[in-house]
Amino acid sequence: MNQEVLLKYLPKNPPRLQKGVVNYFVTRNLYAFTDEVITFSPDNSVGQDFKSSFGLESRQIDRLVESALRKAGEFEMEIPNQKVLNLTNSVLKKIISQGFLIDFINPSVEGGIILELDRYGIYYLIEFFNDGDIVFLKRNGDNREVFDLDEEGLFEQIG
Amino acid sequence: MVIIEKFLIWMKKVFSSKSGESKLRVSNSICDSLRIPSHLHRNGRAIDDEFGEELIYRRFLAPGLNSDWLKSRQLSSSIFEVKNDSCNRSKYSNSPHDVLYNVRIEDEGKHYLSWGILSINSKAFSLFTFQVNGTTRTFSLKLSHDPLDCMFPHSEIIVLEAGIRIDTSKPKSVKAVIRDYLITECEIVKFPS
Repeated sequence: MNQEVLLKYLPKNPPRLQKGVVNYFVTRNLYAFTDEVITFSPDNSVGQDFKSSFGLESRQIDRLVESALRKAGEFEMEIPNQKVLNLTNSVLKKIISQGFLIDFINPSVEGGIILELDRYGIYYLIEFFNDGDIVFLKRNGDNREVFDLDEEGLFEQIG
Repeated sequence: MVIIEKFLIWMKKVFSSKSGESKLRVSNSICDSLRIPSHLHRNGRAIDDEFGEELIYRRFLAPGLNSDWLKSRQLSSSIFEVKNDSCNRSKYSNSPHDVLYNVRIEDEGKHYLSWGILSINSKAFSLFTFQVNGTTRTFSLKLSHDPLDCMFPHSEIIVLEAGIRIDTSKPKSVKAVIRDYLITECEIVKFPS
């Protein structure tokens, strides 16, 4: 396995190492374009124990969504509601499997979550609002298309 | 804060609630008490709606680490709020940092010193065309000088369609696409600290 990796999802506050507890970082293998998990324990140095990320995708998505939630709390923004969180989770699962790269996941100042993605150099924005509205925007160079969608319409757009 | 200033705040609120906007002038002493530099005070200066080639400054608050909203030269749309269309123009600013002063009297001089600053060239405010819900629509952005008593450079970004000012809150797609247009025209002047 090629070990040149980028620490993509380095936790803000890495958990303190405890005896017998396995900690991990999710990383991206620049050659294989896959996410991998580095696990380590107090007895191992970071990067010694590579494992497949198969099956851990959900945990990674949960962390990304949790991060957006935390940021909303820190900046006293309207907290994204459960429906938005569930929908964000479902959309992330779908788009990650389709080769979209996640640029940003942030809380929206208007209440909700903004996903910003890239695929083949085309920029995508999906904004989920707490009131149920969804905006889908696609930018390719100077050309922009934008849609007000419902859940069904969004899944049609992202295939 | 001294009693007279509190009284003026109360008066300002009363006027605002009755007329929709305050007609009450805030004195330079109140601007001074908010620790806003004198070059930013209006001092009776007239509105200047002639925007030549100048820069427009906006403050922004970005959650998380820089990498949460900046990647290469790509800025996250999350840091640009269209609902808040306030900005400062460079023509009447001594420094981009002037946009970090908080002129709300009720906030008693709590400025936004840790916030970041974006700049946009006024040349970006021109006609542009987008596909909105499958329909081609042409918008234009206009700058309007809207001086405040303690912040003379204060201006607003106005969105027009066919020459008529539109409400960008609905549909949400219009707001999103205008925000996307503006964010791609922005440069970072100061990172949040």
